Amino acid sequence: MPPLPEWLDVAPWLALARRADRAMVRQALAAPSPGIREFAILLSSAAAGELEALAARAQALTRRHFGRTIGLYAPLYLSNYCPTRCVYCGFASDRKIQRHKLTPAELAAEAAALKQLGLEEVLLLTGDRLGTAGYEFLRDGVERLAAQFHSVSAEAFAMSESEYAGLAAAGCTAVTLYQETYDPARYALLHTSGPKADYSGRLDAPARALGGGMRSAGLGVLLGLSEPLTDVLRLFAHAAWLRRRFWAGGVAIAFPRVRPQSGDYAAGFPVGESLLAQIVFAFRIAMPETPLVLSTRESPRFRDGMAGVGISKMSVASRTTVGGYASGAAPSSAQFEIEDHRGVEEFGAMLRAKGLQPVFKNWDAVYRAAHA
Amino acid sequence: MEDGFRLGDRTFASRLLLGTGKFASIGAMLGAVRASGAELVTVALRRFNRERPDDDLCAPLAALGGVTLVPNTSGAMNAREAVRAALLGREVTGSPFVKLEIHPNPHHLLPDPIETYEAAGLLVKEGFFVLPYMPADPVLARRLEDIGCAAVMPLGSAIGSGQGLATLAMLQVIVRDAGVPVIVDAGLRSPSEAAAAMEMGCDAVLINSAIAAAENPALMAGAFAQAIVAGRQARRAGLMPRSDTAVPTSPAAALTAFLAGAGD
Amino acid sequence: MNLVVNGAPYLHGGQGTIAELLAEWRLAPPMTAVMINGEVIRRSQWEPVRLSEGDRVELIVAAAGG
Repeated sequence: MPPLPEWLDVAPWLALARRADRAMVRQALAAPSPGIREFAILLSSAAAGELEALAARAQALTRRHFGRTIGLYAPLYLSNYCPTRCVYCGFASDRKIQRHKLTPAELAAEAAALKQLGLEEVLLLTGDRLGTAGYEFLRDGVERLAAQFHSVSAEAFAMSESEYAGLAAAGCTAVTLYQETYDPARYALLHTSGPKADYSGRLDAPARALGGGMRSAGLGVLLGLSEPLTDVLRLFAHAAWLRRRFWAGGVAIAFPRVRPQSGDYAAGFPVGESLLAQIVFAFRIAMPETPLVLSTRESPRFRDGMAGVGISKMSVASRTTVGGYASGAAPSSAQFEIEDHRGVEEFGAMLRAKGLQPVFKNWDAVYRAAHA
Repeated sequence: MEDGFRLGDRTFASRLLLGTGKFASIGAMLGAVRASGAELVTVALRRFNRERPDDDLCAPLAALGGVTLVPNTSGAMNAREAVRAALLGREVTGSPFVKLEIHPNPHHLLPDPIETYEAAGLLVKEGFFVLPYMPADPVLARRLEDIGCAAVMPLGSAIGSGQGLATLAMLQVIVRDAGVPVIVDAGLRSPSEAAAAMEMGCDAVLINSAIAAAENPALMAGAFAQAIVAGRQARRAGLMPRSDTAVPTSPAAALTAFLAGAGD
Repeated sequence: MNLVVNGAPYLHGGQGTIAELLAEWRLAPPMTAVMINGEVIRRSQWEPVRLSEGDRVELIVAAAGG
């Protein structure tokens, strides 16, 4: 493996997170230009004892940078074929599940169904790189959808910079790629074969995406795979490093958590809701302008509580089967189980009741060449 | 060297850069340089005057030892002139550094961002370590960094205005996002302002008018030197935030009540 | 030969090398820059230069400023 980048060394911050006291937490909350130091302090158990204060600061900052709005998007799985064994994933290559890949006609039906729901931002997903459902297939999907939706982003396998440039030219504006865990040893245990087993290649992919012209890179760790404070500190360092290196690019952070799925993987380091909330608040406070994303993996109660309190963007009405929005879609197995099944109307009503406005698009895509 | 100031391919101990203009005499200027401990000193260019050969600057500055001359392109109105001035400056001083300074308006002396960007690109290709004097604009700072400038020099306020860190909010963004040293230049009036610039994360400060125009320039130069060391040390020591009271919590309807009795 | 040096007419008495011109002006080669007809001549390229009648030469040194 090539040498690990310097920014992965978070040992001093981890030590700080472990010994911070209430006085330090209060100072961190008031810091005018918070950085990784304040972030570490806000992850401490002393900070856990001040969760309401963290929530209040997170809400104030979310309002300042995002207004009283929540960005909404839907995931659309193009394929669940996968050559890789990720121990925790419902699509792992050694699981006997129903596999499917969307045909162009099916994709058109799915797009129509999503448009009907009022959605304008779509996240396209595939399994790991495979001949039949590889780069060309993904780029074709991007191109078709970019003509109809204001924002198309992709969550797929790690690609080269020129491949990312090709996706961007096809109309993809952002790429999401979770490192899953930044711990190389744990990573090796969890990804035993296939292209994704390349830890360094994956680590460098968001930089290649931004270098290839993506406007934004979505980062995250799968909470539960490894010791959470270390992983989350490294995630912060990764985001900070990317922002410095690509001044014109953005980063967004998501918070996937190991959830029940088809299979029996149980999280080695389970992260409870309170810690998850604390992590979100800490990110909001220490990186106030960064979009923070919560998916439908989490319960309605949790999502309702977090909307606008740190979280600025959420998926809605999700399906993690291949397609599945259009009726009559071919059956396939889901990547993970969804807990919040509310549709766009119902979810929107909840947000409004909380004084939040659901937002379906940020910029009008007509300025971009790829949009029809 | 602990906490050395890396610029180009060198490391310096002092984070105070000194301009040589506006002094009452060459002697006063040399006294200030000595008292300041500055290792980077900016000089302008002029035609040699046969009638006044003793006005030479370079030899006495070189005699001080430890001083690296940085020619500046002051007087240039556009990129082409600035490039020519930089080439001349390199021949005169033998220094790989150039302070790129293009201010077409003689009243406010504010830098021209467009000519500066163009000149910077040309000079980087010529092999200079370019130190561009620029408006305190964070995007321009990154653009100049991207094309290879060795540092950025955002202004604190207009040259000679003594308005201090009028551009503080922008400087904070520049400092936060910079991958090259940030040297605040222009408009600083007092050592405490220089200390403040260092406390907020700038890598170095360039002072000219505030020292040259002081009653006792050498004494003022020493004061600035100490202030810059103090500000830098405070930064490294980890300053306490201004207030230690957190944002007041929300009223009765607690934001985190939804977590109570949460399952997993 | 007749030159224009630093903006004023000057009668150069030598063969037209830069070294001679600087010597006439009592200028030390280090810390001096030379521009001929608007072009900066690098010190490493001074030796082969021969000035011509009517050339405009600038002899530049450091000044207090900036």
